[in-house]
Amino acid sequence: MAGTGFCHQPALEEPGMFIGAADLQEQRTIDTDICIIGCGAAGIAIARSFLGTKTRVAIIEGGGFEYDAESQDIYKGSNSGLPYPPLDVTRLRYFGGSTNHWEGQVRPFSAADFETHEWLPNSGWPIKLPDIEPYYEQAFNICMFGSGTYQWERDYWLRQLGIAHFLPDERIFELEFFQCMRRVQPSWQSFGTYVRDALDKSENISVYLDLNVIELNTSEQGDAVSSVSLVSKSGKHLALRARTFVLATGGIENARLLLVSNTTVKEGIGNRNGLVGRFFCDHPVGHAGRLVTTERTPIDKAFAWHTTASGSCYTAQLSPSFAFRKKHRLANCCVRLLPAPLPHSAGSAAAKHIVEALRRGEWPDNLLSEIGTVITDLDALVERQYHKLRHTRPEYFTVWTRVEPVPNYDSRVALTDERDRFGKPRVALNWKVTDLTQHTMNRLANTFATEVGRLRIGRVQIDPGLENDWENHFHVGNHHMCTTRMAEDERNGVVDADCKVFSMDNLYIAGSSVFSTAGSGTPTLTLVALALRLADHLKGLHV
Amino acid sequence: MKHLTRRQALVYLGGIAAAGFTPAATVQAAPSQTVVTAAMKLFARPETRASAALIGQTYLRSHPCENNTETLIRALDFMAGYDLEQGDTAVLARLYAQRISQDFESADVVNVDGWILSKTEARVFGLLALQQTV
Ligand SMILES: Cc1cc2nc3c(=O)[nH]c(=O)nc-3n(C[C@H](O)[C@H](O)[C@H](O)COP(=O)(O)OP(=O)(O)OC[C@H]3O[C@@H](n4cnc5c(N)ncnc54)[C@H](O)[C@@H]3O)c2cc1C
Repeated sequence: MAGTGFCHQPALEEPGMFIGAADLQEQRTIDTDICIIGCGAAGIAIARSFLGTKTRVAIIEGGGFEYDAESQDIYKGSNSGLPYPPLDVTRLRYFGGSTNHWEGQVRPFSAADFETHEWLPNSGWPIKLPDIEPYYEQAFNICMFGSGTYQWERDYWLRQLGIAHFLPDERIFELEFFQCMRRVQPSWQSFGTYVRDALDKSENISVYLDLNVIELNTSEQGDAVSSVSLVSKSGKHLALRARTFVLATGGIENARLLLVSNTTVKEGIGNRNGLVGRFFCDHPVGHAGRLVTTERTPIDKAFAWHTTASGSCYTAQLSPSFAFRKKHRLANCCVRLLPAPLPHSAGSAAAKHIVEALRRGEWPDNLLSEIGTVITDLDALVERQYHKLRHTRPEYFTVWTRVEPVPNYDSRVALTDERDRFGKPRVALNWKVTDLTQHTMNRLANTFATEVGRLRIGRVQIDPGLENDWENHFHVGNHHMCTTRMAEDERNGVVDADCKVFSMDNLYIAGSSVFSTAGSGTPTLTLVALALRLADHLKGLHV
Repeated sequence: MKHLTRRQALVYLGGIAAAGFTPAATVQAAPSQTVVTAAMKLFARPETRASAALIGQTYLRSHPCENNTETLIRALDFMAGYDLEQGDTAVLARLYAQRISQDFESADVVNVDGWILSKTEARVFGLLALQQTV
């Protein structure tokens, strides 16, 4: 930290507590063993692993305990690519990070998600499922806050549901289950709430709040991080030195912080090959159509959310089998069924007549001819009344799909000329998806529709937007991935198999930015498992 | 283009389920007429037949080369051997359902206004549509 004029003070005079920036002296330098930047799911998982150890850990969190508009403003950015939620909406910048508004749905990646597939450009991780598998159960317990059962076998969940057979053609579709704790304990959904007590009581971990890392400073050779520059909300400047640094500021911000750290390394840290921020992706999520069912099947049961005795929830999804994807050269993807929300209907004389009959518990004889005279949304009104009165299940479902975004070099996070309140360039997003991603969603919808017919469950109407107006048709999962992807070597990625930035001695990255590929599932369970694996690696370095 | 509503789809799907309970119709001798009669028997209730015909119209618009009775009858020849005199409609309905399953099994499907239908059922609807206009 040559020439900064910072006074060196002993580190962590009061270790094991939350420290607000207001309590810190201007121009102070904090010393610690491991510095974790960002207190979201990834940062928290690593810090937790060090609870009760002799290693001193400092977590630097830009926000406080509550949402704060000034902190959130730093997340603003532009988007020149596909429609995307505003960058200060798709993530949260305070203690607990984006888990303050996440859904909490989890499922591990499959073995195939880590493999290289010749039909999927840029596929393949340098690690495989067995490398991360030992960490999944612990990650699950963290993500589910101790609820749920670490169990992914289809038959186990079918037994829970009392479904003897639900038999999509296994050569085509696999039935899988997702778990979630959110619906049980909404107030617990933030990782921050979950770990706050443990961190507060810790003797070796300090959490600095309202303190923003604005740059990573490197050695003169640019091969190690020597310190980080910090600014408080009120404008106080500080610094922190550590033996090891872990960047855990989320899938977009991890790339941004590397890029803005360009005082010594002009192109930005870890960016010798111009890959930082490249391959940005999110999961396209789309309403692919609707399913009309003809008779009772176990389908509505499997695809509803169910609660377990331990308080968690689970639901089913169908994913094309690996053999099917290989044969048809598709990305990973999945389909779920949601009870379709019924639109509000306009009233009319005919509608009233029908509804009154239904209220009397009758299904009027002339219903079908009356229906023919009224508009489609009236149809929905009648349907709703009928179900209310007869207590029957809905007869149609939204066909919901999520697709693995194929890694795309041209899809990226870069910097704009516009600056945030600390004078640092804001983020410019340019999100692009490849044709293969779109093709996968279309193929999935059509295959599902055909399978539904074969199983005599009903018929599917595919949404025309899927074909004609795809780019405006899908939404996203708010899963920011692959901007500092893991690779075998520096020519293909930003971090190595240990999540260490290539060419840097002591800088690691945690979060879904290190994903080499995105899979079709949700990211947080896997990013937490990777963070736990990283924590183990760091423990080896810090004993 | 008039879009098919979910109600119309439900009505027609209900038609399939109900087909087995439809009373028998007049016996017809010529194979071509047998196919037409069989299709009408499958959709005996006027409202289900009307819905099926509506879907059929859409099918024929997107498949103009099948927009004539002869072609459709040829394509549906599996119904020509059906013995209207002897057979009961439930047998016909089973035969029809089997064909539909086979179509889905072999992905012999068509997209009619977004609905993914078996080729056989779309053709039956097409035939019903042509009968309505006769
Ligand atoms: C609406 C929504 C629903 C979601 N649902 C699911 C779901 O069901 N399942 C699932 O798996 N995932 C879901 N996600 C994604 C999930 O929230 C993220 O994967 C996860 O929160 C990422 O954790 P993280 O620790 O990597 O990053 P973040 O949660 O973004 O945490 C980063 C932390 O770093 C801090 N920070 C940022 N910049 C700085 C800086 N310069 N200095 C200091 N601190 C800084 C931030 O304040 C924040 O606390 C959802 C996301 C959204 C938005």
